[in-house]
Amino acid sequence: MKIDITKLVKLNEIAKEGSKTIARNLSIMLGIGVEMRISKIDFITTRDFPKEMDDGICVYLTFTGLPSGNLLVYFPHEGAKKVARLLLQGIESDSNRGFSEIEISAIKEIGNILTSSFIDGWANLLKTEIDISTPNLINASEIESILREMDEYAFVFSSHIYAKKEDIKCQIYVFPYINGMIEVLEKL
Amino acid sequence: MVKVLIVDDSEFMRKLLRKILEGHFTVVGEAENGVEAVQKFMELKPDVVTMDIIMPIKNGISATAEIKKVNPQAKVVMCTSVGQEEKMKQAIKAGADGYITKPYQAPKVIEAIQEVLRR
Ligand SMILES: [Mg+2]
Repeated sequence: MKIDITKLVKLNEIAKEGSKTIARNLSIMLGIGVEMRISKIDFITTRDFPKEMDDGICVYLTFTGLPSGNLLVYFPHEGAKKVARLLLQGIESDSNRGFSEIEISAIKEIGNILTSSFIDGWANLLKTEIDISTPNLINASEIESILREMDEYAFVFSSHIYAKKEDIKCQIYVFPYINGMIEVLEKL
Repeated sequence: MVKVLIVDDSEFMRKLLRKILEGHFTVVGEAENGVEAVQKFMELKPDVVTMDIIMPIKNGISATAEIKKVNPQAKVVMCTSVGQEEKMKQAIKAGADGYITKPYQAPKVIEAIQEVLRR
């Protein structure tokens, strides 16, 4: 297959739009300024995916349609705690270092809201329907087993989001399956 | 006061919405999936249902269609994430009367529900 560079440029623009929407939505939910730091598309071998995400939690979702794939929203542990605290302001008081059930619910939902705007950007552009699963919370250490289930090679859309005031970092990784992605590129 | 039933599979989102609505409306109950939503709708007879779309067991679109079958006058406001245009088209087909977008912004949520009630 030959990939048309203009289509990759377009795909990159869509991803960037999606990342900006993610930052905007996170800013509304947390009530503080949030900026998009990085938005890029890589082609990787899945076993080389960065392993720096060990202390933290991750919202894991799958999406099916055109394209289908996997999606991860990663927060370092401290950041996740801060996010939960900001989200639950006026709803529920803070617990200890671990995560309470309502905190888990809040983090899952933030993963859900952030990623659906990204995925729906594709669906609207391609005029297809992409269904997103309900979110699951996993430990960052479980990411490897998810990656192992995937194809050897993968496209990955990465967005790095940063809330300066609270020093909260969040990384979003979207892994569409290659076959679907090729079809998407043809449709663009 | 206007009675509202909150439907969402996320406990956090239910609590958040409850906090936004209280003071403006009476929250009569919560449901965490589409099956529970239909049951509680019949039991509690709310004036408005706020309906999440993506939920386990039964999604919000099917639940809306069922509620409308039980009572065509029922008012259902869909809770969608920004940009879910395809899903919204299906929801309108199922009979949804309005929508609110996640992340919630309190004034917009109140306004959307009042708008649906005016109709
Ligand atoms: Mg939901």
